[in-house]
Amino acid sequence: MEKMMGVKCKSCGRVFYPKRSTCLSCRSQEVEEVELGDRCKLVTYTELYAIPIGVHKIPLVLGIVEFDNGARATGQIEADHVKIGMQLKPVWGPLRTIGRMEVFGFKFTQP
Amino acid sequence: MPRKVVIIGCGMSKFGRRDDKDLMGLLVEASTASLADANIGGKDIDAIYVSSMLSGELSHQTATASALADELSLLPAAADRIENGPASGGSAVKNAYAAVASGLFDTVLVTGGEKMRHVAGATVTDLLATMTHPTAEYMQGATLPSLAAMFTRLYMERYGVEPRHLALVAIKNHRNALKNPYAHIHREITLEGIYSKPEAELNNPVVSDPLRLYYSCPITDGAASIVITSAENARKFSDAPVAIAGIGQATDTLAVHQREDPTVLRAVQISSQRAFDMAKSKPKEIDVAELHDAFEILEIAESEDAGFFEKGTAHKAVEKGVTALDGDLPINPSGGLKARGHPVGATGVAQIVELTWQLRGDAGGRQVSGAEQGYSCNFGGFGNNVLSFVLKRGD
Amino acid sequence: MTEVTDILSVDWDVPRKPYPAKVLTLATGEKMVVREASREEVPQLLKAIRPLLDAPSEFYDLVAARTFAELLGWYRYRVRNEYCLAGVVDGKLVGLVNNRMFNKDLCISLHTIAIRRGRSIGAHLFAAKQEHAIEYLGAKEIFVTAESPRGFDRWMIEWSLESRPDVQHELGGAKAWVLTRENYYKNKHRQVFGDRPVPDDVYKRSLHFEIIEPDIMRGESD
Repeated sequence: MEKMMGVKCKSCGRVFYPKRSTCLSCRSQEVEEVELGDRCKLVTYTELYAIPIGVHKIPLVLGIVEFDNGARATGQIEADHVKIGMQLKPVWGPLRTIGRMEVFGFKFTQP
Repeated sequence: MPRKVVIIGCGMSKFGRRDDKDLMGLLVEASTASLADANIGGKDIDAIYVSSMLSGELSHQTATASALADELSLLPAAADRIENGPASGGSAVKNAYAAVASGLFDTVLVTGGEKMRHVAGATVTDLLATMTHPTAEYMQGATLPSLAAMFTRLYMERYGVEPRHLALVAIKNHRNALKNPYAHIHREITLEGIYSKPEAELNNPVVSDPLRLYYSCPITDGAASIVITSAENARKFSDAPVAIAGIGQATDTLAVHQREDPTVLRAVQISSQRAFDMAKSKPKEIDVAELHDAFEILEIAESEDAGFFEKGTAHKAVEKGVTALDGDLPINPSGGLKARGHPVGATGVAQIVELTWQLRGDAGGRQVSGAEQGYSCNFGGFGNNVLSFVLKRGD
Repeated sequence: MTEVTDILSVDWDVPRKPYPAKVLTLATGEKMVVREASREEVPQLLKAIRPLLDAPSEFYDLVAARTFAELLGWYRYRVRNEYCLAGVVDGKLVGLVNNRMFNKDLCISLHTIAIRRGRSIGAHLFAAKQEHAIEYLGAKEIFVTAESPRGFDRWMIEWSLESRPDVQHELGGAKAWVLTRENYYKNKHRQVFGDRPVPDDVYKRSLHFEIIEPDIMRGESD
C-alpha cells in the first residue's frame, strides 16, 4: 500500500510535501521522512478544460489540499461535488502519461 | 566602480502568428531593427545574449545565441543563450547589464524570441507546464492556466476581485494595442461581449475555471531586441539614451502550494524593492509600467506587490480608470501580454523596448505624455522567479 | 423520362418550420444576426464558400467541398429537407451552418463554416442549428460528426454527445455522435443565446449580405 510521504524538519518542525533535502523555513539540512496521513482538506481547486498532451481526462479537476500537520499538496481531485473545505484522502493511482510512459502518483478522493 | 548602463537602440518584430518566418528569421528581424535604431555597426558589438525558452523543443535549435551571432555576422562576439522560462528576456537583459556595468563588455545586443504557433496548443501547454514543480505539479497534469485559475479563485475570495475586473483589464489592454503596430491582437472587445451578456458564456469560454479565454494571453510568435552600452560610450551613438537605473531579481517556492500565502507574490515584492533601491526611486515616481499579464489577474496582483497599490485594492483602481492610457498610472500601454502577445522568450525584452519608446517620446498614439520613469516586471514560472526593472530618461 | 425525373428529384417531405431570426453580441461588441437562408440565396452562399475549396489548413477545404455539394444539391432539388442558417454582421456573411431532416424525428447535422474567425461564430451557429432542429422542427435526436477534431472535442463535452457505434453518419460513414432532445435541454442554457425579435432595421441590414474573403484564406487566425 503506497503511503503519501513528506519530510519534517528536525530543527523547526515544519512539514513539507513533496520530499526535499532542506527546510524552506530555517534552511536546516536535518530533515526526516514522515507519513502525511489519510486526512486533508481542500483549500482551492479548478476544473481544467485546456488539458495538455498526456492528460486523458476532460475536465481535469485539480486542487490544493492541506494536511493536519500543515503540509500542502497539489493534485487531481476525484469527487462528485467539489467544495472548498471538504475532507479528502490521498489514493495511489494513474495520473497521466509522459511520452509513452504511464505515470502514477497520489490523487485525492472522498474518504 | 560599476559603470552606468544605457539603452541606445531598440526594436521588435511584428508579433502574431508568423508563418512567414522561422525563429532565426524573427530574431534577425528584431535585431536588425535595434541595431539600425542604435545606428551601430556589427563590429562594435562585443557580445550578444539571446533569450528563448523553447527554441530547442520547438525549433530543434539549442545554440540559439551562437546561431544568431553567425547569422548577423557579429562573429567573433561572445554569445550566450539565456533560459529562465517566461523571465528569460528579463534575465538576458540583467546578464547583459552586469557585463557592461562590470566593464567586461562595452556594447551588447540582447534579443529575445520565440516561435510557438506552428505546433498544437496542447503540445505548447505541456511544454510550458515543464516550468512547474516536476513531481508536485507537472506530474499531476497541472498547467500554468490551472495554477493561475487556483490563484484567481483564492484572490477573488480574499480580496473581492470579480471576473468583471479581469474583463476590464483585458478590454483596456486590447484598446491600447490598437495603437501598437507591433501588437499581436488588433481587436476591440467589449464588456457586453466578454462578460455581461449571456452569450459571453460562448464568447469567453472557460479555460480552467474561473479563468476564461479573454482573461489569459494568446500564444505568439515574435522577437524583441535592445542594444546597451555604458553611459559614457553612449554619447558616440545616441542623443536619447534611456538608463537602466535599477534591476532586481528574486525567487520564491517552486510549487505554488508551498507558499505561506499563495496570493502574495513575494518574488515580485522583493525584486521590485531591489530595483527601486538600486534606482534610488519609488513606485510613486513611476509614470508608466509594463507588467506581465500572462493572466489578467497577474496585472492586478503584480501592480500591488510591486508597490503601486495596496494589496487587495488594485481592482478598484482598474475600475476607476487609474491604469488606463489617460489615467494616473498607465499600465501596459503596449497592450501587455494580453494583446501585444507573449512569445515567451521575447516578452521581458519587449517590455523594455516599450518603456524605451515611451521614455523617448516615440510611442506614437499610445504615448504617455511626459514619461520620465518606467517600471517593468517579468514574471517567470508561476511567480517563482521574477525580475523588475526601473528605467529613466537620459543617462 | 418523367418517371426517372420523379425518382431523381427530391424536395421537402416533412413540414418546413421557419427559424425565427435572432441577434446576439460577439466578444468584439459586434451584433450578429442569425437567420435562415433561403434556397434562392444558395448561389450567393456558394460564392462565399468557394474560395475555401483551396483552404490551406484544418480541413476547411473538405468541409467547404462537402457543404458546397449539399447547398448546390438543395438548390437543384437533389437533397431532401435541407436547411441553412446564416450569420450576418454589419451586412457581411460571417458564417453558415446546414443540416437536413432525415425524417420528422431525426435530424442530420451537416456542416459549420466560420468565414470570420476568432469570435466563437462557429459555436453560436452550431448551437442555433440544434435549437432549430429540436425546438422548431421537432427532432427527437440529431446525428453529429466532424471532419476536424478542432472544436469537436469541446462540443462533445459541452453538448453531452453520446457515441453511437451502431450508426454511420451519412458524411462518409464516419462515427456518429447523437444529441438527444434531453441533452439539448440539459445544455441549452450554456450554449444557446440570442435575443428575439431582431429590431427591424438590423434585420433588414442582414437580408442582402456582402461576401467577404474568409479569414483562413488571408492567413489570418489569431
